[in-house]
Amino acid sequence: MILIASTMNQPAVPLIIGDCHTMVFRQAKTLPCQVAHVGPITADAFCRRQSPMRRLLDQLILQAGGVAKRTVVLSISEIDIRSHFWRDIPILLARGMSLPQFVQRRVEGYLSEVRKFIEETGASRVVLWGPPASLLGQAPHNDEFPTVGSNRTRNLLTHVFNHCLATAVAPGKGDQIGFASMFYDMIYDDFTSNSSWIPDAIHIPDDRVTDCCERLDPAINGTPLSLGLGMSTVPELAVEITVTPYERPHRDSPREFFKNWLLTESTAESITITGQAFTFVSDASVANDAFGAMSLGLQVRPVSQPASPP
Amino acid sequence: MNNNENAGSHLAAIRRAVGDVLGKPAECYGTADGLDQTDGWDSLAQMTILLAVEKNLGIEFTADELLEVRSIQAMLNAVSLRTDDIPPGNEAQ
Repeated sequence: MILIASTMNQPAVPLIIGDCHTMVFRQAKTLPCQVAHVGPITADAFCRRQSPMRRLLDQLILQAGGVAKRTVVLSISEIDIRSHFWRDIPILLARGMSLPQFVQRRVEGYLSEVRKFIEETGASRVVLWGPPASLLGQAPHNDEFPTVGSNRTRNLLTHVFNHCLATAVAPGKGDQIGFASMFYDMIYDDFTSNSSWIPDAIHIPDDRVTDCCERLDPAINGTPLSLGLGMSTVPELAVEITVTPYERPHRDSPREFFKNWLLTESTAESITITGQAFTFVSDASVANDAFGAMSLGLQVRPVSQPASPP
Repeated sequence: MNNNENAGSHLAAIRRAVGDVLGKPAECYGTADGLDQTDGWDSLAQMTILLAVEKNLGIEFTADELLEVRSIQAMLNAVSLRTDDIPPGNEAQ
């Protein structure tokens, strides 16, 4: 679905473009902006000039009158974290690339493309609108969108992504790039999601538009990080991930490859993470199946607690 | 088997893997095929294809290769680094 709506008929207003998390700004009254919903665009697709979604985004920018001397707010990356990261991380772990290395690599590639985008379009600034908190509980999955992992674990992964991104666009970096997010408003201290922020389990509701505009506005106007809750940075949180074998029930074809591959989490009942430091450990002990892929489980736990047996 | 024959068999194995994942005969695919260039070869199929190629060839791509290799030609080039084969399309190198 493609939607372009203007809250103000002024070519110089910021263009908010990307995935469905742009839609809340259709209702914006306090933030003059133009909104373009591309569809389920990923950061990965944005970085690939010939991808259908990137070409569509470029077309929508032309339809919006271009972005020279305008601020562009890019809402992309949620699907990367929810689907691609979860799929790719275990495979890359087994080949010696740690979780932070992987996320850092992705973020660097993403920002490199954003800088090229600024140079080529003449945009005055790009603000990255961060992904929201995750669905509650286990998400449904299929072989096209293997969105897996528990609510807390997926939020932790979003946090790792946020930390990489925030470090890269921190004050003093000199980029015309900012980062704004409602994520930390949407989660509890234990990184589970506050359902009042995502009543349909996916989107920030329209009645939160004022909060979103207030969060986005400073970043549009030059503040590198606008994350709320008095945060001037995203605190570093090392997440311990251990990999344990997981029996995949069946596989019928290559397309079934990810269908029954669940990254399960086993955590303590009362894990508290915010403000506590954990040591990151990655364990690449992974079982390979006949497709050369991983069947495994993930465990997130404080470093002070012993691992549960697989 | 000489180097060119090895490269030919590697290409055949790669095309077979791509065909298995994308659901078409291997003959439909050539060195120009790749992510965003070929119907059905999207970012979600990408990793599946690479892992299927690994299985067919009995190799393991490195982490960097898994993140960067996005076409049949690139896969051939990566495999040739392991075997000193000259992959089709790279004969001038």
